[in-house]
Amino acid sequence: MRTSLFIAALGLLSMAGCAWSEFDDLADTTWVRSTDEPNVGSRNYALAIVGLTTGTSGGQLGVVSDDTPDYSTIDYDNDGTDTAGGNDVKLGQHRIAALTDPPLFVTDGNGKIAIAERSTTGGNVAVVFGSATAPAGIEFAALAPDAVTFVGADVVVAAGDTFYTLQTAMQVPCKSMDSTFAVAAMALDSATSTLWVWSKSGAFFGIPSSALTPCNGGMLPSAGSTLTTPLMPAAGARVHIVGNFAVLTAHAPTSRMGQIFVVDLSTVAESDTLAVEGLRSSAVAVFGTTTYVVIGVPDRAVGGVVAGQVDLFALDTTAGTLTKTPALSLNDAQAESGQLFGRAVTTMKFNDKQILVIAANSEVFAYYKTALYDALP
Amino acid sequence: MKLRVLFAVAFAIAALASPAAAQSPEALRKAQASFDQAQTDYLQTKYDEAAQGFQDAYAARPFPQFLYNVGASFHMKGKKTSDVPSYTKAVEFYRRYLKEEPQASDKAKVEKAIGVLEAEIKRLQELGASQGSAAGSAAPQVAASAEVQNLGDVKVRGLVVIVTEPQNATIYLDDKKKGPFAQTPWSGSLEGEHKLIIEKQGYKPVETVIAADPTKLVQVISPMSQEFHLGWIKITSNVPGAEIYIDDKSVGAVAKTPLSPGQNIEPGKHTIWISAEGYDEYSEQVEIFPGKTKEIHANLKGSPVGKLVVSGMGIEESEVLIDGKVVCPQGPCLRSVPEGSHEITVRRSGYKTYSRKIVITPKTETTIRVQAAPKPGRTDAVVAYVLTAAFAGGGIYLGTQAKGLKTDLQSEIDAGSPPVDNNDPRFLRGKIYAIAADGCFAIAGVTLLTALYYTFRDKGPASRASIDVHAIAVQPQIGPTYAGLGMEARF
Repeated sequence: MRTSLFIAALGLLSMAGCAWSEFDDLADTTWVRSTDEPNVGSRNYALAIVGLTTGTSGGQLGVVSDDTPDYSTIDYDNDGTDTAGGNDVKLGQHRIAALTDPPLFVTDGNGKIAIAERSTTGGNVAVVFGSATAPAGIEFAALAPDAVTFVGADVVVAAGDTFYTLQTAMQVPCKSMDSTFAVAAMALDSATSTLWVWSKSGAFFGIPSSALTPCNGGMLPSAGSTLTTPLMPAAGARVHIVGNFAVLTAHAPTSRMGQIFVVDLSTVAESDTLAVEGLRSSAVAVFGTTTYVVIGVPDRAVGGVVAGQVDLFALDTTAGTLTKTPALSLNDAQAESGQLFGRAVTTMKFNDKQILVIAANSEVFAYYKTALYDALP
Repeated sequence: MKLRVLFAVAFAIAALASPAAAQSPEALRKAQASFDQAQTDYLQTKYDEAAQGFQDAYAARPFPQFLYNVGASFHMKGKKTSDVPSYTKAVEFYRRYLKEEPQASDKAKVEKAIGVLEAEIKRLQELGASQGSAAGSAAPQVAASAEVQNLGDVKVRGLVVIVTEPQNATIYLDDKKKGPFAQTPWSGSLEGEHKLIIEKQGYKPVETVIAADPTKLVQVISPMSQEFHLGWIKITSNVPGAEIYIDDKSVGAVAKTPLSPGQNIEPGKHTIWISAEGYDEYSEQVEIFPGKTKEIHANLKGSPVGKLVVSGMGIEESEVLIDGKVVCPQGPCLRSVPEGSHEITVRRSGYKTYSRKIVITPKTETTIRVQAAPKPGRTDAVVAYVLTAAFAGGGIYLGTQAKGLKTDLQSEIDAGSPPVDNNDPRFLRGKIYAIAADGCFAIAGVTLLTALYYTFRDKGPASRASIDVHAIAVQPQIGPTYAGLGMEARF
């Protein structure tokens, strides 16, 4: 009698038991790899992210964090396993004591990155380079940078009305044609060797990159055709070169107003524009044969929770037009208030495929698969 | 408490019974007169006259007791005068008494008296011879020997004589349940007041009361008138002493088997029950016709039994079961139980049940004195069950939550919109739920086992009992018309 009851009780228990390891197994089947803030001494992880160039296996993401300014990487194995906090560089050792949201963070695509401390009264730029396992850095001080980009191997910094070409242990200034001029964003069109500049007043024009490599200390040549956008871009504006088009993204300095401009570079004329309220970050990605403009709106409410969202708008690279509704909107499946999902967006090579990476507050999401692509390991 | 139950009281009395000679009432009256005069003479120490009177009574009605009284008269005369001839006659009549009453209850006593008197005769003869040769004159009176003195003074005996007309009627003494006492004519010794019931087939029953005096001759002469409208019933059984019930069991047994030569009964249909402990009850419906005799023989089926007594503190609130059947809703319990192994169970509310298998042996009395132990509280088990239910409920709730999360995650992963990341907090929450559910189930399992243990464990001392088995005294039981065994049990 007692034995039977014991066996029955054990049987019930075994039937009622839950296998918690199923959740681990289930987590391994997800399409998104989330990386939480590693122990890099920063409480504001993933303030800016940039996909780094790697081989054909796995991927690597550069991550800039604040509080204690830090540059580190997230290394992805070819099976998708992430290792956060690699190649850690304390930016304070390179004159960057604090970072303003969003910091300037660019890469040349060849293992060199530039990080600029945005400041109206003066800031510093750190350039990190070297091998992935032994990064090194040099710093350039007191430039009050507004925009940073690579022109070849050189880092070009726009600070007020002056451009600086940063070379090893040397910074060469080139004066702008207009003393009131200030750059909001710029990007190099390597196909035409033109540095496209979007000024804080909305003027968009090109400068031959040869004038900056190196600066000769003189005045920059006058701008050619100029397009003036109705939106004067605030900090965080970006210029993306996509074939014959430039995609300009920015938000207004004092409101949530944001806008995308597609500019035909051959005519320097706007081919399309799209207002995206709350726009704070952008990237351009190519999935398959389609190019998408990726827009991060970190203060958008999702399901009643101000958690942030990322929209992907398809870009017709022939006509220079954007779809007016997102081809895909991404947000955290468990949106949390103040998550700032999409405060930085970038693309990254993973197993030689391009994937989307989105930064939130102290968390990075690598999307191996979306409705637009499948790069699952 | 000591209770004595005497199943056979008639044995000794019946042994004294002997048929009286069938003589006329005139002879009885003559015997009565002679007995009364002899009794008076005996009390006045006129032993020769008393002896002659008792001899006259014997001549009228030859009751052996009269011979004893003759011997007693000579015995007392010899003792008074140390007279050898008187002692010789005393011995002679004592011997005649024993010859006519060989089963006399006082046979040993009388034989002892004979021995003492013969020794006294011899002593007196030897003493007389020596004194005669020495003095050549009559021997002086000699005191009785110490042995004769030790015999004490002899008392003459009374007699009860019961005769009927016609004879061969059945005599019941006090109660018919004791069975027939004797048949008329009867004479013998009785003491005290008794109710006489005399029945004979075809005659009206006679009931009378006698006050027997051990020193007197009491005669009961009862002519019986014929009764033609009654029937007659005789009942025998294979079990002597079985109780007989007629028509109404609630009034109790009316007689015991064998009911022979039988008794009167109203004509018509009657139901007869015959029962004995340890045997299946026998019943039969009979029709009695006037003047006819109905004979019934009951073959009782059953087995030998032993007595079972269940007692103890609080037994009055206990229920006694034998082999799972309630035999006594309330104790104490006294039952006859067939021989063999039996499961005895004593149940009392709030106390632990006492149960034990015992072997009942025939003709034994098994006494079980139960000391019931209170049932311990089951609060601990109840608490354990409540905890089990709480933890099991918690486990079920948490498990359901975990399963729900898993289902949601799986569906969202499959749908991919929005894609779920590997660090989705629901994975951790689901794991916590699952682990907590397992923990709850584990604790519930432990508490369940604990509860089961608490439920079935025999906490506290068990109910106990002392068992006493002793043999029941068995005595031969012989009546005028039956024989059997009588039992005496002590409680």
